[in-house]
Amino acid sequence: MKKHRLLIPGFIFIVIAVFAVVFYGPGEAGALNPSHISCATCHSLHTAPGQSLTSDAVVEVLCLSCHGPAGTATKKAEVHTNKSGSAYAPFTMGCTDCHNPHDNQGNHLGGTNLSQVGKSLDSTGYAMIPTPNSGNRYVVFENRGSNAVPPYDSSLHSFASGDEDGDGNYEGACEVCHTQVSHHRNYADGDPSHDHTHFVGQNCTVCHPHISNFNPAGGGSCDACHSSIYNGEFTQTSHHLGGAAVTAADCAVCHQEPDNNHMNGNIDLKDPDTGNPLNLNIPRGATRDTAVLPANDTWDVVQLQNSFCFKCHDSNGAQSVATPMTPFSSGHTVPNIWDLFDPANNYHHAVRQAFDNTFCNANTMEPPWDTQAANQITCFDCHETTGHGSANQRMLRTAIDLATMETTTTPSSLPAGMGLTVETFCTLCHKASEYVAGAANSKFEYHGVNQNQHRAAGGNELGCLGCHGGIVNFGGVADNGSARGNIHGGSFQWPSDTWSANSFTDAFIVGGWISGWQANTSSGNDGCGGGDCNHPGSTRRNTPGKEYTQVAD
Amino acid sequence: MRKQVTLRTIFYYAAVILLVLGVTGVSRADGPAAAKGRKTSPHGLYSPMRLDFGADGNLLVSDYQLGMIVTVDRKTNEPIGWFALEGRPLGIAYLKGHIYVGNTTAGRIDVFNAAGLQFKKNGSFKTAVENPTDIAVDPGTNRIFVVDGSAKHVKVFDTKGELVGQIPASDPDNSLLAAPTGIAVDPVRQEVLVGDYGNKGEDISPRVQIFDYSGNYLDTIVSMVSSGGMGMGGGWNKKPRFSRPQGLAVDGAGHIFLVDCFSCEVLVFDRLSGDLIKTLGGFGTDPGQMRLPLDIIIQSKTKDLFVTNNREARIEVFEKGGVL
Repeated sequence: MKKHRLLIPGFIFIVIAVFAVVFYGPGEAGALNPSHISCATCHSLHTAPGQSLTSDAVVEVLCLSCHGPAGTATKKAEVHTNKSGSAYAPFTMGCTDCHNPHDNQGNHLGGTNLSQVGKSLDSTGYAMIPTPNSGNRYVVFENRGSNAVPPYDSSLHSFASGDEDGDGNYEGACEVCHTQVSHHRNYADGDPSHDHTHFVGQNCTVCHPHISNFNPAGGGSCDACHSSIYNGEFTQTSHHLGGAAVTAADCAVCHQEPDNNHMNGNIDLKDPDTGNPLNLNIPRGATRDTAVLPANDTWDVVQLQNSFCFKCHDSNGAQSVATPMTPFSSGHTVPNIWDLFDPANNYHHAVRQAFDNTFCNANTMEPPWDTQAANQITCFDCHETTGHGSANQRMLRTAIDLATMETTTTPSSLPAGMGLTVETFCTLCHKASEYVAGAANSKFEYHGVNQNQHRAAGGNELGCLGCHGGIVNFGGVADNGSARGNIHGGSFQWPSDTWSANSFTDAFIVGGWISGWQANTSSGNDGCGGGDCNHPGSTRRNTPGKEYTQVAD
Repeated sequence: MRKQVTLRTIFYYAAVILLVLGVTGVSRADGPAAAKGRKTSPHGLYSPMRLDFGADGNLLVSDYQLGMIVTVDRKTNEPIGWFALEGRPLGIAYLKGHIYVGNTTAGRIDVFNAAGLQFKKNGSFKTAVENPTDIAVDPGTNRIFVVDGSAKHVKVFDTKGELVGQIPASDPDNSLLAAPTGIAVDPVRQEVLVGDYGNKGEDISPRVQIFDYSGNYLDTIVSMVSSGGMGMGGGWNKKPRFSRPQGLAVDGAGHIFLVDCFSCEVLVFDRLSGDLIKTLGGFGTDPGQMRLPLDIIIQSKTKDLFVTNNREARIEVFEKGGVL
């Protein structure tokens, strides 16, 4: 019996030997990675139900128990998959598709690969990776040296080498498979124009980290991949955030781009109030064809405006953020634009609903006003659709120097052509033939040639904004509640000592020239409500304190 | 008469060995509840890590790959809501209207209200937690216990986010916590329990380390598996064999529930004796089976167990699994 008992360990030894011979060739279990300490780190002698003496039938679980997000290994990893919703068929490349768990492999260039990349798949024993479409390919994954940007070290062979050594092999750890992707293409024809023009010299895993299934994640920081937006669009003349530097948290106020829909070809926004995703199907790089009115859009700008812009630009701000009125890191308060468009206001642009204004009809308005359903317009008839920022002030479609208007008190100091710029902008919708070149004594005589001084060509340095709202704090006078700055809409009463005292203005009057001034008398040409108008013979211009007094807030 | 060692004899002993292993090493004290695990919809979860009960009793699940906290209906086991954070979440805990999330990308604790809105002002703890792998809370003392996997200790915060302590109180050579992972607190016994992978190089076996709230070492439940080695749940003489201890839970009645992410089992211990009482689950894809389970919570009234089944992207429910 004693001899029989001795057979038990003998039997176990035999089993081990059989498995070792069958499943691992000589050299497979050579130089064990020191961090794995011993065979027992992964293998169990007595209690392994799975294959290869591991105590788990799936190596994935074995590896990720340490290398997964909750594991204790310093090198974090996840299996290689594509995103859910990807245009390509789902795939999964497990740990051992790219790694040899037992040893670092020698490569065909004479070095030794790092991170156990590659498997021994041919008689040479050199490290290879079984690619889905190109068979077994040599892989080289060595230290990139100290110079990871051009000019590279001569010994660089890493994620995507681009055949740096000129041997005709594209053997970077990623490019052995990725030969037909959007970037880092490997045509293997040696033509440098064919590939590696995307973040040249950068490690793929900076934007496609191993821990994120190699999906683009940037380690959770938008800036890691979208630096051009950070350092470009958000540094332009006007941009969201109100002047501060953008952070990833700021991005998350408007964008909903988790990994499962990131890089799906669409710009995925969220409802700023609910935080729920908006499925607006806005294609990446979408712009609005403003050369054609109505705009030739492939996406619904009205829905974007109502489901997105106005969810933030209203009286209660972005409800999905703990500080709704200051949702961004800049602390900039969200302007309430929604209320300005209130149809109950005495003047308003017809954004929230059609405006039954007899002055606005097919004879006076350009499309889309008279062709679009219900005669409504959108934010994007005046503002650019690039929500991050714009080279123009206030993200306007046209470059209008409102800042100079607001700070310049001497009209002669205003830049030449400013009035014409404003006029051109407004006449994108309001027909120039009526409002600028209207016949004398016509319905629009106050705009046309009969009142030439009201036109930019006649000397109105502010153009339409000289009388109609739109310039905040014009002339350095702070907002006194007038129509200034309320080109979106509002209600304002004429001053008490004017002809139309205490009645509501319309047509966005009072504006630029007028709004900062109040008439001391109420007769004659003062009837427009006061202001520093350029009436013939008037000496009032630029002479506050005479007939007119600058309003103090 | 001398017996010859024949192939028949070898197979005989092989059968004996398998039988022995079958009743000891790989046996599982599966109760009736073990077969009642049920699958949840794969939609909504992608890589569930840690979980806790939210304000309404539903489950708050941190999903690492989604970068979100997903709310899962406790009764239907279906995702019913979510919110995103700036980074990858790991640890999560709910305490009095506040959701505390370990943001591994930013290396900090982010704080959200019950609706998932991050508190902008003081929205994150000032003290960095480089790798906040798990979080536990004690409503009685308003203490928040955060495992920092990189620093290899537990940071203790008050609800204002101020660092008020560290567990172990002193452990310069990381002998008390070598590779900490999951955590649970026992408010009744005022104890902190921490899963620890151990350290093969230092001959420290996988274990559950137990401290008091002040960080003083109290006790260890050590695995029979050698440090860093493999082993299945169960064990000889009621001594446990686990190798990758992760999430923990306590039932307030002297029982400790431990998830071994490698054996894919839930192991239940007696707090005082350290004896293994029961195991649930096991490796597999069927209901009641798991692949890479990472965390566990127990519903105090029903004794239902909820386990994050990472590879299956679902929550595994063991109805009345906490009934012993």
